[in-house]
Amino acid sequence: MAKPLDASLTQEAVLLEKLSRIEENPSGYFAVHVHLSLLRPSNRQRHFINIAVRVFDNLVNNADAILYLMMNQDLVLICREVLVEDIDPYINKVRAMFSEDPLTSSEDEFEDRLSTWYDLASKEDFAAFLSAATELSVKAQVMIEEMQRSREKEDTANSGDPLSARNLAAINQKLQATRIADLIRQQTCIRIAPGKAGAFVFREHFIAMTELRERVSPGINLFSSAWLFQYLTETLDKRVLSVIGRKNFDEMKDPISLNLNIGTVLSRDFNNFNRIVGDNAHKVVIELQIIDIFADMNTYGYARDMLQDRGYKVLVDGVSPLALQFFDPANLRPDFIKVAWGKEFEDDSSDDSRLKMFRETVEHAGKDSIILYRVDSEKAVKWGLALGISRFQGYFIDKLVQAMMRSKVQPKAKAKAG
Amino acid sequence: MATQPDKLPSQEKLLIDYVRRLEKLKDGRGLAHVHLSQLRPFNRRDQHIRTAAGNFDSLVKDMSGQLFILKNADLFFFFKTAVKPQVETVIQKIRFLFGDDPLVEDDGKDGREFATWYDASGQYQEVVQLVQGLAEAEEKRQSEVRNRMDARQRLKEKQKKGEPLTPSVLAKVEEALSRADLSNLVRRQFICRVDGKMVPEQLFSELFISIQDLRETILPGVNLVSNRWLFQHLTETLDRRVLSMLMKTDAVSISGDISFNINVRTLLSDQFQVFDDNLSAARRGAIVIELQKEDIFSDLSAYLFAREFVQTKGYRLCLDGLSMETLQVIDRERLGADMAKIVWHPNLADAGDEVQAVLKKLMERDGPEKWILCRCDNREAIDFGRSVGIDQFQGRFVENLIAEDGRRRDLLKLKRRIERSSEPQEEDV
Repeated sequence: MAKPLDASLTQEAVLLEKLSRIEENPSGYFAVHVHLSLLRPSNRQRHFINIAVRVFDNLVNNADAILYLMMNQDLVLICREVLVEDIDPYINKVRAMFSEDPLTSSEDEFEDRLSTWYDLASKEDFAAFLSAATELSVKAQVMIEEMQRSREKEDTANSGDPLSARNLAAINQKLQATRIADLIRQQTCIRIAPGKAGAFVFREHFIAMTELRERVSPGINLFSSAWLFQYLTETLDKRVLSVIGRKNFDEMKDPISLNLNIGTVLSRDFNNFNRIVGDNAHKVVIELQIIDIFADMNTYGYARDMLQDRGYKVLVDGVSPLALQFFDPANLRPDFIKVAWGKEFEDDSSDDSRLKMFRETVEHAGKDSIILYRVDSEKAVKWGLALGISRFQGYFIDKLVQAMMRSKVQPKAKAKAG
Repeated sequence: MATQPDKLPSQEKLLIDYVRRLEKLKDGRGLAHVHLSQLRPFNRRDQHIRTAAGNFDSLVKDMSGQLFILKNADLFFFFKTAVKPQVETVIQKIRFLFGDDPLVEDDGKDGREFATWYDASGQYQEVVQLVQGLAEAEEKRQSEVRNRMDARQRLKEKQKKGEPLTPSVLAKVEEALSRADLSNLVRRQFICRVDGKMVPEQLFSELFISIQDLRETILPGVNLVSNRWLFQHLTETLDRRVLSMLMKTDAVSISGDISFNINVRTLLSDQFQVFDDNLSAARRGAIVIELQKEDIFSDLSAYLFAREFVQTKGYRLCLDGLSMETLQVIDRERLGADMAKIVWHPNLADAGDEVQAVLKKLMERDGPEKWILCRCDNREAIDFGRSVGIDQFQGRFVENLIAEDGRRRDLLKLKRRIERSSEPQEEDV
């Protein structure tokens, strides 16, 4: 939806106008302010909000109710002579839609964070709502100005065109020929035991995607289609294998991990890589993505067995705290499972099924299989340790590793990923 | 793959050899088959199996027996009957190791056993069949997957099914799709309740685009499904075309409840909103939306959002494409889908009691109205489904049943008509 850029035409302005008319005879009127602007950015996407708006279609069509969509994505509902019980189901539907967002999960608190209600017939409430509406209108004005400014330099914006079938061939071609060795980054996964120096588990080798994008397809958003991106990673896999295959695996001290597609693992390229690795397969961890695994579980099972038979370790990557509620990755029988640390875990008081599921997974898979990933704070490490997890990876761990290196307390390198 | 791994893992191969040689020495020998493959996954790790197998060490050392550890973790121990009491003690020890596992707890229930005992001389044929069955299953599994990856197989596929889909071909297909009239490519297949007498009762029909025909129409010689990811992307384009086609009621005459496959991303798109706007509330209740598991797991929060939206609107959601392997990992109930489809494959029937028990439990928990066995090409599929409590089916065989049922009804009508016309006073309609 192209938003009008004229401040006098905004929904905020229309709402204020409506309020001034209501003020003359406010009896029976009330307002509900739905704070969708407080949702996480990932949930605040346009198509989500548009659908949330549509939830109210029935109400707006059949009762004396008007819905306003604010520029900051908040919704404002103005009703006259409608039973509160008749509004509740609509608000609850919106709540259910965003049930994964912390905004909606605060039922035990005194006040609902998702919605604020105003009885416009009460002078006090009317004044409070008027000031809320005025604030929204001021915000809208600021946003319009910002949009106008950014629109002027839109051409240089880097969100970019989406990846499509039309530009895919060219990008894929370029990927095959572009130098990538210098784009391979490393991140260390370490094992932490209370009172002991950390020990390396492995160093993950991965491609710096933003830099790669700059090199092969500036201005194109590689992540706009999960499927086409996945296709590109198959090409990338081959490049990575040839670069990593130049390493001397006999002299390698710390195990490494690589992200690969299952198709790649079963390809000739991997077979060649396997020949180079030789007897050192125990120093290599192969990370496989959930999306890839689910696309063909039979082939996954075969690839896993083949890798494990040859001595590689198999890691299941891409498990979010949310995903744990829907399946148990332990059933995939890998050597390691990487679970992303998320804010969801942070708030122990709102502990729910999510933590319970995680405990179950840890129990099923075995503590030594779990790697807590995207660890960005000491709190996350402590949280993990309390659950019996000892393997960690993330920004916070990077800092720890740097500190370990500086103080020359070299972590004990283990020749085997474990 | 350039170098092929051995046709069979060595333990299976050795086991077959051993059983062959056993024929001459079978007197006074026994076999204990320990079903460790049925342990819960977290109890079935290498170290557990090694520890369990270690208990046989002393018996093996003094030449009283021979142990085989299979790929699926099952143990086969052949022994001289003189040491049977010791073997029993060893197996008892192993049972203690896994005391907390349902396999041990359920020992003896519903024919489930921790270990099965054979008398090598009296039951030699049974032993041979057992061992061959296991080896064949493993070999079949290996060759199935390997075939798909093998360069030779790929070449064969190319010759038979056409050039693989590449990005530039995909672009051409999408371009062509935007102009093509798809209405004559729409196929329809019924989901039916099938009773014990093989009489089908139509519940709803799935509408889908025949990929085979699409290929013939748009780009003959291109294998559209050769790359999983490019094909998945193509389905998003197809989604939009199907939606717009469904809106034009004259394009396909659709009666009754229908279902169609769609991507989560499409559900959240403007096209779907327009489609939804054009439907009456009653019609929404007659539509089942089918989603693929990999699509769901590629963005779970988008799925949850879309699920909430479409279910609120009155549509029903069906989880499509479950297999024997995914069934044990993905839970329909947790995902909040109204229904789920299991793809029929003979390996379901071959998989043994464990899989059947899993399915039976699901049917008992959910009720049969939540499950559909699809791609049923033969009667075996229906028989298997019914044996585990499934009563809703889809597939070519079901289509045949419908046709047959139609013919039967026509005959019945004809018969009644003849009967009536033979009654003197009655007028024919």
